[in-house]
Amino acid sequence: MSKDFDIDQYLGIFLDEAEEQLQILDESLVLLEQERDNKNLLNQIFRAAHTLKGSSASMGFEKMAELTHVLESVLDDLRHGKLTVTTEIIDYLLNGLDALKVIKAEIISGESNGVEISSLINDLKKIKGKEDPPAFITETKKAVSAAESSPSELQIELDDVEMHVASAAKANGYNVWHTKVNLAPDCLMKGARAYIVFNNLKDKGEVIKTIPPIDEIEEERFEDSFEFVIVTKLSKDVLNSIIKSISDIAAVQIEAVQIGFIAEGISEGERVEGDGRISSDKVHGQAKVAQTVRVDVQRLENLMNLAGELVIDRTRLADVNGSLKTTLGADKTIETLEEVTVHLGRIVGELQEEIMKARMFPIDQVFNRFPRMVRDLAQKAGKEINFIVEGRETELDRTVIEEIGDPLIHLLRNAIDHGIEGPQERMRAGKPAIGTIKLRAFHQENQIVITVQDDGKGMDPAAIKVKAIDKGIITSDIASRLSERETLNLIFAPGFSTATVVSDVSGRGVGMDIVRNHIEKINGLVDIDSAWGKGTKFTIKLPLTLAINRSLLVYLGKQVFAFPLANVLEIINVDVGQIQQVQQRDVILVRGEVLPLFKLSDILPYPDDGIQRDKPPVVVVGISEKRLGFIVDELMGEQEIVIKSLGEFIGQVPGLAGATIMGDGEVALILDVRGLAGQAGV
Amino acid sequence: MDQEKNLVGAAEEQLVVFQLGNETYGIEISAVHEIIRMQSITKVPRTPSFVEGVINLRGRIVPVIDLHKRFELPLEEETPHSRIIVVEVKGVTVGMIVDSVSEVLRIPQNKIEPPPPAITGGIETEYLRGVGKWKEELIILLDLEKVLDKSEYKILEQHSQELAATK
Repeated sequence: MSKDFDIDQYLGIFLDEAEEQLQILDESLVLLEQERDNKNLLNQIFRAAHTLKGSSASMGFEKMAELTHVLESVLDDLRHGKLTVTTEIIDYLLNGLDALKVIKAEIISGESNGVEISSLINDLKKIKGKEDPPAFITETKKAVSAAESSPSELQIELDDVEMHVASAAKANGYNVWHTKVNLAPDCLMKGARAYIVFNNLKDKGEVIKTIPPIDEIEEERFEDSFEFVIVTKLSKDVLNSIIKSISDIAAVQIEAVQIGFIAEGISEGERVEGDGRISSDKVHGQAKVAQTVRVDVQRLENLMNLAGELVIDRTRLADVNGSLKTTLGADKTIETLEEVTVHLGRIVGELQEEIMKARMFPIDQVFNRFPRMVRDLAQKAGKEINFIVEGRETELDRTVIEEIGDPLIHLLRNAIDHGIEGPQERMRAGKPAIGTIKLRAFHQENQIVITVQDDGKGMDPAAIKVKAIDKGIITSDIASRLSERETLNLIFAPGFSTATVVSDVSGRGVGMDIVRNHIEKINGLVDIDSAWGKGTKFTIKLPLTLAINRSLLVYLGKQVFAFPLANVLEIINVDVGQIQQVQQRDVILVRGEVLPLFKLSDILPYPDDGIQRDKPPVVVVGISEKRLGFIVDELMGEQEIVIKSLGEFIGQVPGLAGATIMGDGEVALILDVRGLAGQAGV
Repeated sequence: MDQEKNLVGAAEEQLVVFQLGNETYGIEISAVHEIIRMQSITKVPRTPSFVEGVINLRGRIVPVIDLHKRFELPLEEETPHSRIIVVEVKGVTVGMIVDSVSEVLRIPQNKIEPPPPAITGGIETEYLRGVGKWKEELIILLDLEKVLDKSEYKILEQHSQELAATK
């Protein structure tokens, strides 16, 4: 084995791939339980297990290879009808999958948690009901040696163009060799090996076709062997010795291409199984996938930042253009400047949008782990649940995706544990025994909307009120005045929900305040809609991105501060004479409601302009169900701003979310309304 | 590298030399990003008093500290010679306000001595890397990592917040 290559470089690719395959397994196994006769699905599961087996073995992760091998053999029996799909088998397979995930985590962390796979393997072998399957390693070795000793007929299918090239070459006295290279099963950098093979042949002839396609070979998406057709003057023996001289090559098989001969292509990986149809499906399936490039997330972040800079400069340019126009009036040069400014502005806008799109992921990245979770939880709770997911392809900014998983898990968990009733109870209520939970995502204007809806028992406002009074969240006086919607919102109040409380009330609430905090942290909103006896629906609204923010700009002295517009309810002018004192706090009555008032300059603290105004502007913000007003010196206007951090040295400042650069190059500070409320002691 | 240095004689250090009050200080040139004129600084609330605020350095938000305040030296008026030295230490970029920047020096390593206890008016020895002798002058070499140390800074931050809270 060559030491020139860094295994870490391949580890990343391996882990990405493993994650992908594990995800496929996870999703399709759950689906398989519902569609037990779905042969395509079984094949898909088998292929994922097979790929994982191959890649883990080639990276030398024995434990993973061994376990996937056993899983694969059970799947193979299922696929060939030797076993039938039962819940028990699915459970075993899922257990195996969980162990694989743990092993993968071990690989990432580099420390062994001592996952015991032998009992799992025994279980799996038991359901196979057979003698021990041959150990994985020996099997591969056998396969390789078989290929070496008795080469089977090599067959390849060339398309018209390739056939044309091949026949033309042959007519000109070139040889057209169909070559199959088997790498040693313990070869670690298969992609690199393959590259060396092609590189050594580069000036000896022309490779006109490879199986799998060359990009897949480069990405190491093949098992232990790959094939190619080369047009060359070399003889078969010379070609053979050139390839054999490269280390880690187990076997080489070379045959002349029969021009005009058309046959089923044999392909990677599936040779051991001898199933040509699957592999051709696979090739076909991949052809439909859009071409993609893997890009480092950091690079996208940098691009986004650069685009942000351009946005700032666009604003500055427009400012300059504006002031030149006022001082110099109509002038040809200024007209051109204006034209360029507008055009540049548009292009920068589009550029920013495109980069933003590049950072978007389909929300399926979050959704795809839910079917399994719902299945497991439902099983544990003894409930039957039909889980429907819609809008998997809805795209969200990466930063938002990272944050949205946990709140959704909470909501789904609650829907299963407390929303959906047991089968008997449902029947008694005249509902179908199987409950339904629907998770849906879609775009609406400049927002992403995610809904979690169940047809369970819903929430009882009366019971919520009782509990809230009990918990000291509200007084009975206030409770009597609450609307139904306000009552439902009480479940988000900190301290309302604990697991024990929830089940005897109307049913919901493991950490609903945490759910709301999470969502509001990413500038989202959450709303409930519930009908007693009929079900509950949570609606989450999220911004498309966290990097750019529409803000209300205000002044304290000469310094500009930005309120995220998502938090701003309204702007009012308050008559100083109307301000009252309640418990040593300034409040004012706005349309009959008490609004606590704070001077922004006191809360931050920050120097203001010192001018005593009779009617200072007040920015009214909403955080959860609370409303509070901040007195500022002056209003500046609304603008899109790019959020930048204050940097590691300064770190988190309570009440500030970051900084941004204004059109004139000055730095404005972005306010964190939640933090401000904390500082204000609200 | 070492060989190269031996060729030119004794190993040297390249320093950016600046004034702070009456003293002359030096920091290693490799840490210096750039030296800029004073510009408008945006104050940031709830930061230690030596943090003057943040500036826009060509689209980047960079914090700026006042070294006088950092070392509890007597404050100096801002003059046309005042500069901000932008340094990068362990990936953290910080601007430092100094009274003036005088020159870039190569100083042989054998002219650098460990800091004697309590040499200067105010700066505690722990922030010093040593003292360089150059002609008739003493150049106090700052240990930037210590000066910008976060853990120390965190303590100061807490302290100043407590102060703010008691006010």
